[in-house]
Amino acid sequence: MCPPNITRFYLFCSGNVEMEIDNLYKAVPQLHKVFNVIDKIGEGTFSAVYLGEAKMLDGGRERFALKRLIPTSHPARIAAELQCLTIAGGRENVMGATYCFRREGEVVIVMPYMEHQPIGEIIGLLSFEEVRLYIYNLLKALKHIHQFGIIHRDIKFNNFLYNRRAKMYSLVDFGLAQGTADTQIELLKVVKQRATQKAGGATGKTDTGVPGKKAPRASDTPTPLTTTGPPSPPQPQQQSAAPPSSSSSSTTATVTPTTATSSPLPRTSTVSPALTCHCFQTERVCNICMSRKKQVAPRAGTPGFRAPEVLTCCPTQGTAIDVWSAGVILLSLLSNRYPFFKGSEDLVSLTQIMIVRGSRETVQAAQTFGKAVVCSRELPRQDLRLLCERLRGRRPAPDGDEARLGEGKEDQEEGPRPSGVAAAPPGAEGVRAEEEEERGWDRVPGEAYGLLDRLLDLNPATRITAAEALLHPLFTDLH
Amino acid sequence: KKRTKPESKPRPGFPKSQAQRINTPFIKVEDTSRHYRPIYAAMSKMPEINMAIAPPCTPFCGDKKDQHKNGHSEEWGHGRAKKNRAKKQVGFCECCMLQYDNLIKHVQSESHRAFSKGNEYSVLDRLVSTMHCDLALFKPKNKRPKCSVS
Ligand SMILES: Nc1ncnc2c1ncn2[C@@H]1O[C@H](COP(=O)(O)OP(=O)(O)O)[C@@H](O)[C@H]1O
Ligand SMILES: [Mg+2]
Ligand SMILES: [Mg+2]
Ligand SMILES: [Zn+2]
Ligand SMILES: [Zn+2]
Repeated sequence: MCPPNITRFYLFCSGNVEMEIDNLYKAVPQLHKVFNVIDKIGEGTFSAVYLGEAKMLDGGRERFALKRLIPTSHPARIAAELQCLTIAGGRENVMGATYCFRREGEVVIVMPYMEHQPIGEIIGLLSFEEVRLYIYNLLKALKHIHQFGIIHRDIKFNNFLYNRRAKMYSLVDFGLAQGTADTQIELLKVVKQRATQKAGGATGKTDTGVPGKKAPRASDTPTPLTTTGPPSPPQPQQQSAAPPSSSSSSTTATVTPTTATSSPLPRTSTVSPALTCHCFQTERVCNICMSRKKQVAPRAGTPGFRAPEVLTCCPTQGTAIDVWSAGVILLSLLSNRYPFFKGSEDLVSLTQIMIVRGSRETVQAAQTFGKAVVCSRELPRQDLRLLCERLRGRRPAPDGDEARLGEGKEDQEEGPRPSGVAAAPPGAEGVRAEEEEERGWDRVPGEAYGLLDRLLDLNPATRITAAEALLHPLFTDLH
Repeated sequence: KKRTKPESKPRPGFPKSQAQRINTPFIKVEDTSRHYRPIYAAMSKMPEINMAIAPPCTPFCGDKKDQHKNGHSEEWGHGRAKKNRAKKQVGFCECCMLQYDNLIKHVQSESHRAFSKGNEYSVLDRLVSTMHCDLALFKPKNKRPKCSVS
C-alpha cells in the first residue's frame, strides 16, 4: 500500500551511478541474490544498462549487462524485445538474453556483457580492413534477424557493439523492432506498429511509440490524449507550417480518404469529396491540402539513420530500412564522419540524403513508393568515392568555381560534381596522409563504394538485401 | 512566423483556397494518393556538405556546438545529461496510453500501479518461464553474496 520512495525514479537516470545502482536493487530485489552490480554502461530514452558480475558454480565470475527498462514500457513490447533476443540472439553477431527479472512494472533483461568501444572514440583510428570486417559482420547480423522476419528499426553504431581488439560484434536493442508480415517472432505479431511519439522531446533521441492492440494504425486517427490534445504531428518543428490560418476544418472541404478506415473524418461539407487542389507537386500549399489528415506511418528510429521511405512517411516499410541504416554506417566509416547525417528533422535529413544521392534520383525513387517529392533546387548526386575521400581529407576539396556550385546553377553536367559542397580549409589535405596509407585508405577498392551505392539505394524495392550484400565482391575472401 | 506567403494569382478554376507559396529553399513531400496532408519544410538555407569541418564531425553543420547531437542519443554523462533528466520526466506511458509530465508521479499514480500489479505482464512471465535459466548456476553460493573472494 505504501507508495514507492519518492526519489525512486529520479534515480533511474540521476547521473549518480551509486545511487542508481542502489535504486536498481530496490526496484528488483531479486538481483541482489545474483549480481554484484558494478557500474553503469549506458542509458537510452527508455532504459539504463548496468554492468553486473555474478559468481558461477565453478567459482569463476561472469559479467552481464543488466538492462533496466523504463516502467512505462508496455509489457507486450518488452516481451517482444526479449523474444527477439532469445530466438534470434546468441549467434551470428546478435546479442542473446540470459534471463529476465521482473517485479511489478520493473523489468531487467540480463544479457552476456560484451566489452566495446564507442565508435566516436575510434572511428579515426580504423583501418579500411577493419571497416570492411565491421560492415561484413553487421550485414551478417542483419541477414540473420531478417531471416526471422525481424525489422530492427534502430540500426546505428550504438546498437552494434564492437570490440576492436577482440574483433567481436554484437547487435543489441530490439526495443523498436517490428515484425514482417511472416515474422517467426510470435510476440512481434501482436506488437503492432508504433505510432510516432516524441519521447521526452529530445532531439537526436530514438523516437518510439506505443505498442499493442490499442496503437493507432496507419489509417487511424492518432490516439486521442486526454488533456493534451492530439499528439503533435511527426513534422519538422519550427519549419513545417500549420494549415493556413484561413482554414477551418469545420467549414472547408476535405478530401475523403479512400483507404479503408473507420476513423471519424473531419466534418465534411457538401463539396465533392473528390475535390482536390492544385498544389500537388508544386511549391504551394493551400487550406484544402493542408486540412487533410496527416498520414501516419512507422517512424521509430534515430534521425540520420532513417531510410528515405521512413522519412517520407511511407506506410509500407520492410527489412530494407535496416539495410539503408547499414549503408549510412558504411558511409560514415568510409568518410570518417560521425555522425554523417545531422539533423533531427525528417525533411532536413531527407534533404541531406538528396545532397549525397541526388534530388532527381530521390524524386524518382520516391515515386516508386508512392511519394511525390519536390525540392526547390536540383541537387546532383555525388560520386561516393570522391565524396568520401574529400571528407576524409585524402583529396583536396574542390576549389574555385567548383566549390561554389549549387547556389544558382541548375544545369547538370556529366560526371560527379560537388554541388552543395563547400571548400576545405587550406592545408587540410594530406595532413595525415602517411598514417592513412598505413591503414589502407590509399587503396580502397571500388567494390567498397559499389556496395555503399547498393546499400544506399533510394528505392527500397531494388536496394540490396543483407543476404545479397554478404555475397558482394567486396567480401569474396570471407565467404 | 509563417514561412509561406499568399499566392497572388489564384489559378482559374481553382477553388476558394488560399494557396501559399513555400519559401525557398524548401522540400515538400506528398503521398501520391493526395489523400493526406503534404509535409514540407522551408529552410533558411539549403544544407550543404562543409569540407571545412574537420573529421570526424558531421560535415552538415558549421555550428560547432551542434556537431555532436545526432547519433549520440544513447550516450550519457556528456554534459547534456541534466537537460535530458528534466526532459525524461515528461513522456508517454504505453501502459496507460497517456502522456505524463512527471514520470515519478505517473508511475505512482493509482492507474499505473493498478496496471503494473495486473496480469498484463503474464505474456512476459510466460516467456521468461520458457527460458532455461543459466542463473541457477549462481544459486548455491548466492546465499552469501557479500562474501567476496578478494
Ligand atoms: N550486452 C551488452 N553488453 C555490453 N553493453 C551493452 C549490452 N547491451 C547494451 N549495452 C550498452 O548499453 C547501451 C544501451 O543499450 P540498448 O539495449 O541499446 O538500450 P536502449 O534501448 O536504451 O538504447 C548500448 O548502446 C551499449 O553501450
Ligand atoms: Mg540502443
Ligand atoms: Mg532501444
Ligand atoms: Zn492545396
Ligand atoms: Zn502508466
